[in-house]
Amino acid sequence: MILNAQELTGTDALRTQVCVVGAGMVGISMALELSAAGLDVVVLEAGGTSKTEASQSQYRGSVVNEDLHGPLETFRWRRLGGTSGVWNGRCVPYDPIDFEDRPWMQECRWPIGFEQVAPYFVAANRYLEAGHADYSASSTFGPGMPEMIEGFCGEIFSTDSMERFSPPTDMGVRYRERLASPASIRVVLHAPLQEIHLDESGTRVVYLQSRRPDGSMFGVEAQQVVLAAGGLETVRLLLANNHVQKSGIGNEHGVVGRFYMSHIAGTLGSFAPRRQVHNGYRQDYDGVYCRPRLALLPKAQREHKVGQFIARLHHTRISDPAHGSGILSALRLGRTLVPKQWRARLIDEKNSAGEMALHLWNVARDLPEVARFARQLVFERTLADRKYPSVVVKPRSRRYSLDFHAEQEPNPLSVVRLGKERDEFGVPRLEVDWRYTAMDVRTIEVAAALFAEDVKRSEAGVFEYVPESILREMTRYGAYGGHHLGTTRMGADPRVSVVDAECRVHGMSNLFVAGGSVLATSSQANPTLTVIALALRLADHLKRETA
Amino acid sequence: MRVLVLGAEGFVGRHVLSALAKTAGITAVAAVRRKKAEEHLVVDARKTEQLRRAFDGVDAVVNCVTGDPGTIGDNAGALFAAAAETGVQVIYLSSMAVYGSATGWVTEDAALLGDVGAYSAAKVKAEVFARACPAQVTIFRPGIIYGSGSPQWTERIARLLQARRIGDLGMAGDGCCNLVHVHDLVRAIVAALLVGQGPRGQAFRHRVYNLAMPGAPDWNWYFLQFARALGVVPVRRITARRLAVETKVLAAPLKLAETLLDSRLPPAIPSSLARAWRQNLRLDSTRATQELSLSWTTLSEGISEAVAGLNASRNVRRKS
Repeated sequence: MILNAQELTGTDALRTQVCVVGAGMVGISMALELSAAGLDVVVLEAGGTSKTEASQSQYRGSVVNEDLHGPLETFRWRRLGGTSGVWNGRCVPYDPIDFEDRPWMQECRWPIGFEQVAPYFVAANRYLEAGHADYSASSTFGPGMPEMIEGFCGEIFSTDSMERFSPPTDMGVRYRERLASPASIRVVLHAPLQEIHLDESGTRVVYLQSRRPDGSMFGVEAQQVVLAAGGLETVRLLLANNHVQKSGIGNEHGVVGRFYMSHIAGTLGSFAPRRQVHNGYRQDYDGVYCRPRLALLPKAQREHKVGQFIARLHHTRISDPAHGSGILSALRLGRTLVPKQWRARLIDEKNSAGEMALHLWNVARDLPEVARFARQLVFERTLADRKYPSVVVKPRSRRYSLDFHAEQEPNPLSVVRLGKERDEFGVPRLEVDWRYTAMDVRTIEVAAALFAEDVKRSEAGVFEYVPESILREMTRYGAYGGHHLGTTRMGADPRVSVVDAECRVHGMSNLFVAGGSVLATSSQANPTLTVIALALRLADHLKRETA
Repeated sequence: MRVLVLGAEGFVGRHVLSALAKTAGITAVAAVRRKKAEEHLVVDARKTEQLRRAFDGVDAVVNCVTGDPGTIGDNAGALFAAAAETGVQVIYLSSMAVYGSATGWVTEDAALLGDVGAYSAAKVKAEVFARACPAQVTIFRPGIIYGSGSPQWTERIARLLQARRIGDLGMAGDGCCNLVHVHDLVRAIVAALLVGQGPRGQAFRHRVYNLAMPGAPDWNWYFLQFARALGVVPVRRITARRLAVETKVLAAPLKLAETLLDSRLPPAIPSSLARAWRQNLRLDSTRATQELSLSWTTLSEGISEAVAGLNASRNVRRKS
């Protein structure tokens, strides 16, 4: 059932087997999984059913370098369903190499192997409505599928790796009925967690206190507690609760909030294929949109001692009319119609009057294509539940750029910590100091050079780029929005990790963390799918452990 | 053993008849409303007198009669009255609809709510007649009976999928689809007849069995796998808006046209159907599995059989 904290008038604490803090994607999938196994679950959600200005303002904090990191109240939604409301739906699993020791990067080590997570991708795909957990283009679509880049036989890059797209699933809407019907789930809205009370030894959570909208408190007593409040807020909860453990819960070695990773993303160079490219979406039988991508093969990563790197073939800069595409020019001219959060990334440069005229000319000579695109936009995106994920055009210029997404090396100096500012309830707000390392730059430099080499060798085309532009391109938009990873990272050694292989906070008997913050490394993959898989794995553990 | 099959020309009746014909020690007699073959016995299954005469020399009767709620009630009343007088053993096909709006796992002991429309209420009423009958009665409560020839759950669903009017329904298809393949239903009926014969079987007077495959999928999964087998891919995601148009705007005129004109018209999606697709009632068939030693058709086997049946009947229509 779904309750409002203000309706909980009794003075007795809510008693339950498992309390999950946060009803975002992780909290919801865990609650459904646990309740299906017969466990009693209480989910504490700080927000209501929709995003409001007032609730979002609780997320405000400070950022050390505002050029590199967005404001803290963006890309996280404080409401039932959490940030799934702004998610674009890209599902990609972590790879086996992510879980291997990679000594050429600092602290690249996991206490579990890929095979311990892999089984959970099946259910994670199901919750995210992304179809089968098959991320190989050839095995999904069979041998008849056209090659992504015709004639390309990569020795360094694979084109078989594929991303799947969720509709995208807004968990707060999609699973609302399933949360509301069973008696074994109690989702309490407007109930931000305020206090985590530990026993005297500081090893066990005995009591949680949440705040009602009127400022009064109510308690929750749970056998097991799971923090699933996102990679930033979880840090705040652990560090601000410093009554028993003076440096904050699980922070004996000062690791909570450190190793903060996102992804390095950007657009690079110009690829002129010799033959056709097939870089667009293809639907699996169940309607799931799939898109091929270029992935730097593990053996090349080992040989060149770099991190993970993938890229999609992308149209060139929208603002530059030289692409010759009527669709892209129409987007430039109708800039205000493009959703705000993408506008900055897609259409970022000013055009001269002459360039605007060229944009108009592009639209005029491409009118049928523009009309087809407009139709697709309306019927397959705006009105559709399963949305066509993004704009893919075949530019007249036949030139593509590499839209890359690359790994960040775990870095103890990249930090989320409590700032000096406090909210109206006296809880310190967060301060973020996100950083990248020389290795992060090197990964992209090496991958770009290797891609140029790989296409040249197989005579599939020419990739040109300005090596000096890499640093500018990869930091143009700073940390990739919404990927808040590594801040309570998983590991066997408490000196460099916060949770153990079971996602249990080191030194605590009944406190767990689920979410992107437990990821020990950042991979090439967008984190959502793997985060859900790890959460379902934790749910399995809790089913076994909770009598 | 002489077994009378009532409603022998219907979807389930035909399958029962052909299975009984292959069963050693059983002689099956087909009783129908309208005679279509020489060996058919014409019986109005709503009339006690006619049924009593038809039960003469019969050891057991399998009632596969269906129809509107009125027919269901009249049939059950007459059937159990005639059985009471003649002492003939009855196998009665009820429905999971007797559980009405229940949710969660449901065993045979659950309350019979019968609160999801006139059909469910009629089935509850029929079971009340059954309970009052002094003869041996076996009641089956099957879920969604699919397989070749199933007008509702194979043919109608196939037409809706082919017209892309249903597909991936999102939250509107999250309910449990308690599928039972018609072959499994028939096996259960035959097993009940045979078990009913043995010395240990004599001990019972009334027994009730749920019938649905273990690990039944949700409706979305059934639609996806069925559409895949039919080749109507990629499956479309149906918005709540579109489904509302189906149930609120299109259903009534389509239903009326179907009743007045021709059953080949596009099928309606009444709101009761859409409601069933959301309902999370899980039929527990442990008792039938154990006592009747049933083995279950898997979903992929069942769908293959259903699609083969659809293709065969399409070829027949094309030739004629």
